[in-house]
Amino acid sequence: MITLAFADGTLEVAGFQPNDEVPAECRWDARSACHRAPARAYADVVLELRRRKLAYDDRARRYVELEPKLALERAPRPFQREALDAFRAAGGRGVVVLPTGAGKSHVGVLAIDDRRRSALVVVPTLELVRQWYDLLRTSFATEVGIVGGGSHEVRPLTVTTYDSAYLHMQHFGARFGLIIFDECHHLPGATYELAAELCLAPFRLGLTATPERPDGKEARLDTLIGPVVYRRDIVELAGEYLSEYEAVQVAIDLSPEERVEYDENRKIYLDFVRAQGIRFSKPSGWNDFLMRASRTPAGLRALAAYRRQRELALAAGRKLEYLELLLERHRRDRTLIFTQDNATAYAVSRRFLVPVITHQTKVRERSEILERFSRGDYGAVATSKVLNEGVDVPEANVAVVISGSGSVREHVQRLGRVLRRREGKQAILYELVSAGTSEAYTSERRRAHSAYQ
Amino acid sequence: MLSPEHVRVRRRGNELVVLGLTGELKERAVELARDLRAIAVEHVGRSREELEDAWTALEVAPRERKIALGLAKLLEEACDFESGDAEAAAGLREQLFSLAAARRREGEGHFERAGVLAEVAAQRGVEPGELESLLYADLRGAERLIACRAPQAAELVERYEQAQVQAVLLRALRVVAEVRCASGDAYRTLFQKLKFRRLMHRVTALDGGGYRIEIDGPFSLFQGVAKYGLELALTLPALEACQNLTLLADVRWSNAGKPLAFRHEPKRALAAKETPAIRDEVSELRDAVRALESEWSVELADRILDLPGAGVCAPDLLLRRERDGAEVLVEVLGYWSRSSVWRRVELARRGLGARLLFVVSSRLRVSEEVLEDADEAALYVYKGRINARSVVRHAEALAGA
Repeated sequence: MITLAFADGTLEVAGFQPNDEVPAECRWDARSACHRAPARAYADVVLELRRRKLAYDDRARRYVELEPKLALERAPRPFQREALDAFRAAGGRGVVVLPTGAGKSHVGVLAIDDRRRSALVVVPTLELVRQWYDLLRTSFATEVGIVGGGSHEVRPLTVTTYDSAYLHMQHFGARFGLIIFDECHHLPGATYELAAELCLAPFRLGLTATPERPDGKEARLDTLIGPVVYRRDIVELAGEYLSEYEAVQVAIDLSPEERVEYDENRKIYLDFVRAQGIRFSKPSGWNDFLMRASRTPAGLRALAAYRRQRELALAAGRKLEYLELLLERHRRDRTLIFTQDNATAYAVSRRFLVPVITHQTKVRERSEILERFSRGDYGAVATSKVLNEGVDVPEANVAVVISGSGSVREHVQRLGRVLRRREGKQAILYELVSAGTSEAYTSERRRAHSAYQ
Repeated sequence: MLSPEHVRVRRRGNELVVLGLTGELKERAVELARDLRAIAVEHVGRSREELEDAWTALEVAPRERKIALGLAKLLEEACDFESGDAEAAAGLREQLFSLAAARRREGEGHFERAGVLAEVAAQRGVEPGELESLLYADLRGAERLIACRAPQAAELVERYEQAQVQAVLLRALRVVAEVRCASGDAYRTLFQKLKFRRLMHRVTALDGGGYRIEIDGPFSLFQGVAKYGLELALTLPALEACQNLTLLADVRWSNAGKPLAFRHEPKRALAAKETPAIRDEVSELRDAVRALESEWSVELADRILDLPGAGVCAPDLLLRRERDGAEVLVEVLGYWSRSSVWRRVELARRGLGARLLFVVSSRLRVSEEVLEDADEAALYVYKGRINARSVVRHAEALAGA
């Protein structure tokens, strides 16, 4: 008799001899004198044993049929129904690509109801944990578990973060029949992808607006979740299912003092880079700079100069003056202010007396801030990166990007925060860029998306 | 635990080498530790941000930078901080931001920040400037240092050196440890640690004595992953407690590139190496068997019996019969749990490849008959004290005529 057991995120397959023909992905493990496969391969192993009509004792599977039914019936939009059909047709394994604001989460809820197995939803931020927790509770009228942010309660419906999934999947990876990776472009990579490898869920759904990654590792999603089974672009849904929007780039001049300081520091930094022959066109260029900079006093000065010129470009004083004008112009709107770093986010908060949400903001205060923002008690909220993928406020209609990285995804996600459709809503995204600085190039890189063409 | 930015390493080909502290640099490290510690002590009562700023302001040469950062990290871990009143700060923010939002909505012109601050300050009966400092008093940087429990400078530098190795192991894909322990207890402790950390191992006996133990995790069979790095790092003290240790590790030091080889051989003799800890009942039994002056000699056992998939047995004593060299290993379980006895029984039934006598107290309510049918193992259940003659009698029975 073959025995299957879940062992710390792997599948122990006992009963075969070392040289027997075994299901794909099973390997002989001399450490435990049995065969072993990644837990991810569970469904394939079981199907293979059934195909060969081999009797087996399944002690691995610990997931259950989901009892609660969908309590809150919400008619899916046509593209959400199509996405579910495509997921189903692919055997319950695949990635659905929909723009932010189009209702990806609802596709997830439909998939849970369709598969009817205990389900784990993995998300990148605590803010999204909170949102999925609320969504699943109201959708299925049942208690929902949370793992992460100080909670550790596993239930048939559970929400967790990528960090916690990576840390704990080896313990609870057998307890779910369906796993949903929200914002699944986070999954590929040396650490997070173990969350998929160590889980035996036969059904897997990935949700994202932008699966593409700068390192090209999105190809791993095929193995970890399944292929892209459905895709709709932002421009296909704008107007009908997303708000109409406008993206405005505003060039901001540095003050004369800032310009002098910027040029001086940039020169120190670039002189060092040239003298050392460092080439940023090489993938190792940045690490090379950091390594050489740490070795000599001149290098440490160059590193400090690099930081200062970047700080001047990202947080130019006149950007905040312009922000003042925008807050006045949109004083009856709902404005999200994005920064690249926490220090600027707090500076905005102090100067304009608006609430801020960073990784240091406690869950309860976050919820209260977003609730007040949604009600209109607050007209603006500042944030660094934590809300890039995690604020669901349909009323938000203005986004101001004071500073950001060169990531296309980040920029599209920030735009997506104000795209959730509401009758008569016209969204606008302002991007403030320091003219004549390296930030102009950063801005060019992040706008390389159809949403900005 | 330290991070890579705190660790002095150099890459030599495919090897990663931790740069030790010697000579002048070590003296300088102790000086730095003294200065950083003094700053921490001076900053008791002040904010974390002020402490960090003061540490950053300390002038260090480029080659001392990582040492200073690492020592500061260890010091920070030895400091106690107190958070500000989070609820009071959140309450102030809500009041201030709600009023500011209302004033901005109502106003048709320039937003009057000072006016909003003055209004809230008046309601609370404080100065507007005070509001500014209270607004984010609950952030990490505003936490107050209340005590510094750091050891003296020399000890701190020693900790830094071990923490450097642990920081490397945090990124280890697997570890190969060549160890030699002076007693069964030491081996047993080591394997208990491995089991507790849910690590897997493969044991091979070395020609000159001792063992090669390959250590990684279940998923390592498919892919080298750093997931078990924390467990491997936390196992370091148990490995260093062995009499001899050569540790080799594959380390993924950077996200790009191939894993690097890392080698660690602790130089300083640990106290445990000089006088291996032996339980009283084991040393008493050894002395009692010697006192019998029978044809059985006795010594501390330094071997382990590994049964993949079942477990490891680390006997305490080796009995050898002069006449024919027959050997019997003895593990003294004493008052340990019944489950530990049943685990040994299971191992013995599967066959450990050596004659084994398990010495168990009658308080555990286990009968000698349990292993009566086993060829190479037996249980000796004693009442009160272990009787050396009974141990020898059981050994005779196992070894045969």
